[in-house]
Amino acid sequence: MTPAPFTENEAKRLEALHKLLLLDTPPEERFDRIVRFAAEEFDVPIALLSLVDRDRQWFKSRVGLEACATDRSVSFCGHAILQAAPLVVEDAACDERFHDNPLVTGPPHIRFYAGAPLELPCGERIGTLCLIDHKPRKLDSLDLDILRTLRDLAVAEFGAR
Amino acid sequence: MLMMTHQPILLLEPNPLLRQTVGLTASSIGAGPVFQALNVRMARQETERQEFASAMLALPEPGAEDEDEVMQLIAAIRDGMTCCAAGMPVYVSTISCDRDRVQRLQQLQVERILIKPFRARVLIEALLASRDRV
Repeated sequence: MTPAPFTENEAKRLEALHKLLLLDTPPEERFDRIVRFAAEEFDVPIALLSLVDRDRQWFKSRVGLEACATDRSVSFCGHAILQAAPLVVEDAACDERFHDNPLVTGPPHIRFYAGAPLELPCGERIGTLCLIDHKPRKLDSLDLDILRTLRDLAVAEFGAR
Repeated sequence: MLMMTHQPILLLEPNPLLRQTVGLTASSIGAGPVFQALNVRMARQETERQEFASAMLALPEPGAEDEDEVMQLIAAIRDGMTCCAAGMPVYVSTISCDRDRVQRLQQLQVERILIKPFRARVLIEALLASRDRV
């Protein structure tokens, strides 16, 4: 397993995340509706709006998952925030980075992951809008475009408070 | 690669998240501008203000308040009462469509009827197809 690495600008990234005052806040319908929509659109059992904090990833909104946080080291989203483009893992069981990840070998038994990073106007990537399935999947270019649009709508909500 | 035209597509869809997802995605992948109408009154006003390349209109269920207004909008387009070409492709999305409704929509020369629920992807593909027809 490749633990989720820290970003180059981690201090600035965390500052931008904490400034939003979203961590550990109650669920909000404006985010929940986007995550529900994503789960239905892509027909996945799990969809999350994940915020990657210093040592954990915390879910501001979640469908299909009881846990509200996981350790950052095992998070797929921790990998996704390293790049601007969505991270797609078609089959985690066959991916060197994730095949022995406890979230793959155990609950929630991730096989497919697609996470579009939440990038703030300042350029910091604070988390993802992500889709998870228990079976391998592929996304085509239109699927990715739709995921990016939903991600953009979520990011727009950060500035709308 | 899709050809860009100057004319936007009209999208009438009351569900805000579906409307925004479809409109923004279609625009971002080269379908050109998509005018998002929240309700039929807004859609009607826009057809009287500008020409559209095609229209995707959500038709409420039978008996709903706006059902007749949407039908009247399509009729107005066909009768040349708007800025749009009378033969402009019109697509309709709806929850249900019995034989009478299908006949009425056929008389209005609706290009295609999409039955809800459907994925945003289905609507986007229909919008792209409508653009290709122009």
